[in-house]
Amino acid sequence: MPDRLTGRTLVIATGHDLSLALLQDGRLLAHRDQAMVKGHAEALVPAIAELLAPFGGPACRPEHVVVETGPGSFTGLRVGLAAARALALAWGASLFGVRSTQLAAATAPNDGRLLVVLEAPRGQIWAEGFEGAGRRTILPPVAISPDEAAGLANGYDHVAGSAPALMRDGVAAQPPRAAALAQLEPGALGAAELLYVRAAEPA
Amino acid sequence: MTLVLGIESSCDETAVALVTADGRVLAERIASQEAEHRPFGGVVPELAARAHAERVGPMVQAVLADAGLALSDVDAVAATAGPGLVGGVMVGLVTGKALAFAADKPLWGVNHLEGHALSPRLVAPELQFPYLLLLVSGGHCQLIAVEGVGAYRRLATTIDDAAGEAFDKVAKMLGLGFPGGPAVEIAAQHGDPKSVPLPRPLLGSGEPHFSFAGLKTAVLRAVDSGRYAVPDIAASFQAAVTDCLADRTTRAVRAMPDATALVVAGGVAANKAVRAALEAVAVQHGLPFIAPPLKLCTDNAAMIAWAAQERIAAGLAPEPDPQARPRWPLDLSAEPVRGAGVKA
Ligand SMILES: Nc1ncnc2c1ncn2[C@@H]1O[C@H](COP(=O)(O)OP(=O)(O)O)[C@@H](O)[C@H]1O
Repeated sequence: MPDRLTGRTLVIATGHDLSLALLQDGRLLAHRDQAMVKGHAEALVPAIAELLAPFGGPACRPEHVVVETGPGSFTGLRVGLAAARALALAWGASLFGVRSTQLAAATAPNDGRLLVVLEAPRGQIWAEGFEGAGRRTILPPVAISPDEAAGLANGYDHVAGSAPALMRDGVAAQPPRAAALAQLEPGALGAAELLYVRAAEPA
Repeated sequence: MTLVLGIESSCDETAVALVTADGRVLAERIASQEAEHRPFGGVVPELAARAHAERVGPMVQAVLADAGLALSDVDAVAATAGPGLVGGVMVGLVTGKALAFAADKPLWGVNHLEGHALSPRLVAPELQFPYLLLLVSGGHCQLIAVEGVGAYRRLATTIDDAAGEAFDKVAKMLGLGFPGGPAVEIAAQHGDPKSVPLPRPLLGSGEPHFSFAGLKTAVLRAVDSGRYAVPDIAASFQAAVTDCLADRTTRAVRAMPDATALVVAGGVAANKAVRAALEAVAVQHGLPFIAPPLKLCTDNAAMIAWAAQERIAAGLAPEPDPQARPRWPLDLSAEPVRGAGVKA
């Protein structure tokens, strides 16, 4: 994956809220975040148009498009991927994927072990465990119950993400934000392929 | 000349096509999801949406490459906005919107049923309004007076199952697999259509509509009785559906004296017995019979692009920011019909 994102990068995150960012040479130019559970399909393209309007609208032609790949809402992620693919094709931009958990991890402390916990449907939690400054994955993305997540958290130095009940003192819960890509190593990006991590059916 | 890129993703076919204003299909691709859905004996909406999301972008690229064109050569983008499985519709529509935004072109949100209704004019340019359309697919069974672009009068619809749905369910009962229509037709070739007594719901009825639920139940009883061979049941069922379609269509032809032609579209129009019976109805009433080629009868993107071309030629403007709609009747003034649901 790329060692640097030269030129402009559009970041589309639709697995949780509707979150967009525009980067220039890897640094944040603009972002737009909207709390959203449903309705990404309706809101997404107008929101992208609004974000890019001060930068020439469609003529802004970013060189790269990065799309959130999950874990997150299947419908939201799919809509984000569809838009990202279409925009990359139209602009001749390169296309990469970033996991929701990577975005949520990007703004958290990077010493020791970090557990990212994201709210999933039916009261479940999506979790991924990271270690060290390089954010090596030590627990691949899973869907678990809040109790299991709380148990897991005991083995971690830090907890970040969007599940308020699991946050430690002084840490605010926040869903993945597109703007956090500015804090990520481009080498951590992957393919634009969705991760369908299903939350368990209620027993 | 105006060039439209069309995208279709409302059911289990992902399709992309490039169509000119004079009805030339410069390139088109269709990816069927049959293999994904076969193990479940029907279309699974979540799987359909996933497959559309994986395929539609690369297919747009492939179709442009097939035609040796770039997106900048396209004058407008058209995507199905409904009716259909909304997860898939969203994927195609958002793709269309993003392409249109990035290339700074207009976007048309097309009614899939309008695509079917106007598709015969893509292959039969001499076809004049008004004509009578029988739309018989897995999701719809309707008789429509097509009076002009955007002017549709629903004469009849199903009050329960669509005809294709009945074929699919009967195929399942007979253990013939999915998709059921073609399998039932093949099995029927070796059967006697008179061997199993089956009802013809609403045949000769004063109301204009279709009904297939009672027929389906009667087939289930025949299967459970253990008295009949599979080919005989298949042939008898096909004959009953054919009789119903021909009877209801005859009624509609009489109710539409100014019709210039009888046109049939939708997957069930592939059935040879059905086609022959409908052609006989047309001949009997002195009307030309038009059945577009199969690939235009079933879900495709050429008809979506073409519907936009028809609207452009008629001087209409695209609806601003169209949204995905699971239900979108062609004739908004048509009375709701009990049991029709999204099929209306
Ligand atoms: N030879 C046939 N005989 C009867 N029904 C058929 C035949 N071929 C296809 N069908 C039916 O047509 C339907 C598919 O048509 P299509 O226009 O793609 O419909 P939809 O998109 O509404 O599912 C299915 O229900 C299928 O069983």
